[in-house]
Amino acid sequence: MTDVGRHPRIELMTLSEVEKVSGYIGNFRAQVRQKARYVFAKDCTSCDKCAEVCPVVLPDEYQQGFSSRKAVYKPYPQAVPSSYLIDMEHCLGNNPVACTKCVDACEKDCIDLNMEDKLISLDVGTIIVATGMEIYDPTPLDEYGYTSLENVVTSMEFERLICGSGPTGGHLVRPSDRRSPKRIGFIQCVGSRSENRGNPYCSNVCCMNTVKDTLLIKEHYPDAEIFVFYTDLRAFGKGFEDMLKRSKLAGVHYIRGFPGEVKQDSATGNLRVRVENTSSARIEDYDLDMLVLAVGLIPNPDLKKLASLLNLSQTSDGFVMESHPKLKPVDAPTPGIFFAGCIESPKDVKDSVTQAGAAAARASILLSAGSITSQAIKAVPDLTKCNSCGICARVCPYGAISIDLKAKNGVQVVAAACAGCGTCASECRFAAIIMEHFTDAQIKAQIRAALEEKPEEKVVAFLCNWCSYAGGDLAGVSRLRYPATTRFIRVMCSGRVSEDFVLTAFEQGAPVVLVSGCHINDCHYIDANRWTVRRMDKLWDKLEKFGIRPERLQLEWISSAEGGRFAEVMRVLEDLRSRVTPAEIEHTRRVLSENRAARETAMVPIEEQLAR
Amino acid sequence: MEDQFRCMRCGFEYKMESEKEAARDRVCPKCQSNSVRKLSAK
Ligand SMILES: [Zn+2]
Repeated sequence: MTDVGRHPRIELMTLSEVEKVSGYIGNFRAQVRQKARYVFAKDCTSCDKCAEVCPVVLPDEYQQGFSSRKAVYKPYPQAVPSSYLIDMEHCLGNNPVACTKCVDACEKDCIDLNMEDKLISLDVGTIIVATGMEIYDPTPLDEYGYTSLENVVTSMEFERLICGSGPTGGHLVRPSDRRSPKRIGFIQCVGSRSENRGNPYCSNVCCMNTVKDTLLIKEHYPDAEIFVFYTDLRAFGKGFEDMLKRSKLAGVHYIRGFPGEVKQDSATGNLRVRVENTSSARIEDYDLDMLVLAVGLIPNPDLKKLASLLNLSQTSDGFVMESHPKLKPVDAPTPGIFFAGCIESPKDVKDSVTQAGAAAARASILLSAGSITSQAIKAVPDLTKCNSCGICARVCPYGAISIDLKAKNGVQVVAAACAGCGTCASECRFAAIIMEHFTDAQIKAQIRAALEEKPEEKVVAFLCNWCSYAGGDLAGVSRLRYPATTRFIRVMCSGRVSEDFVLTAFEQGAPVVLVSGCHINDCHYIDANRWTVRRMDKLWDKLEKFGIRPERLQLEWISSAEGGRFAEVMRVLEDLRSRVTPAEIEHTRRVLSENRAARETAMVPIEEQLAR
Repeated sequence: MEDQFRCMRCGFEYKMESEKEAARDRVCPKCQSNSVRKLSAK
């Protein structure tokens, strides 16, 4: 951190918050609020004289509340910049001035109680987001007594208690009586790997953090007895298994089973933990002096706000989603934005450093090149057709489309920001957006070709490029059998499948139509498949109004790893197809062709589109 | 708020909180299909 602070080409903006981001890869503009620190960082020598006289005493967040700080303080000893700041929420000295003791005590005159926030506008080419994580608050798991029993602490609190720069100078004491604990327990997976209480995912670092803590305790207090309660221990990284072995050799007891209750002896503050040991199949009691809850990691609570600023998408566990989990693990779906560290998933220091290096490299490749090569699948507006309704701008997951709704002079698409999902083209009612390489004409030509002969024997399936089509590929290479009646039409995203495509397929005689894409929260175009869901709801309603059985239109989310599911869906579709009668198909054709004129009043004929 | 849903594969109807529904895949509790239609309020 100190190196970053000193680097001539890195401007470190602490106490700052990004409030607005506009633009696109290579041309981002960020508005940053640099909050007032009320101390001139350059002049402050951290002499501590201001804090000595400050009358306001508060819990020290960095020390997890085990010690106190003043309203004028340095967040932690190695803070960069190495300067004090004033916590104005608690300072007595501003507005009206009532105290100002720190101002009087500061010999270098570096305190200004009237300092104001600064709004700074930054033009940047790329953005790396590394907002870290928070720890799980174990309050809801009250059987462990975190809120009621003083000697039950979280692993983060334990970290401060055993750290040389901690409130006790590294002497391990328990909170209730400041005695050195002789028998210490650790409970693993607190708030992790639970569908009902806490979070369903593994937090990745807690097992090895506990193993490290047990070795630390044994190093300083060889007589301490340590008990670790767990269900699985995940020691998967380089050197981790060896570390776990060392912990076991040092005499740490690993007990397979989670405690059901923790009780305290009110006279001594000692704890009794009851646990079902699943290795010995017995209920056992353990008397402990102190209990550490190995709490899991959760996404930074501010991530939601940041995600909406930067068009990031979050997976169901709340962490951000990568552009591709294997091929672009540090890229955001929005070009020019990269991730590092626990913003993407819980990870340890080594993995965070690796990812940070990768993100920095990915960003510098772009910056040094000065230009980007982008794929040619882009939305191109046809201003002669555009009615300036703005729906395309509303549905674009990338904010690549802009429109002046007052001027009504048509939309603009920033090609560098457009990722080519085609949602805009599907939603446009005036055929005013041409999706290059996936034009209406090209897709309709495929529909026609697929249904040219014996349409009643075919199922038309629109598959997204990244998930469903790849799932079909996997079904193929896995030699899975499925009926040969399905005709696949590949689109980049299920968001590209317009109402018109589905109705065209039915009009051409398709008994059954499938729309398939990535699972919700896994869409490669941020959230374009959410528009697919809305469109499907509308289509089902519409089919019903036409007297067409809505069941003939199916929607399935199939990932690239679900080859088996792909084959199963194809079998279900064939079963559905076999039950669609010739009379139904004939009726559908008739109704839709009668209605086509109304549907296409604003549409451009295929031949004309092909000519464009 | 709760919405009414109907599976377009097996016909099963169920209710679900709108917020929960929007957070992840719609899945029919009976046949696991994603062809789940939100029935518009009538
Ligand atoms: Zn169903």
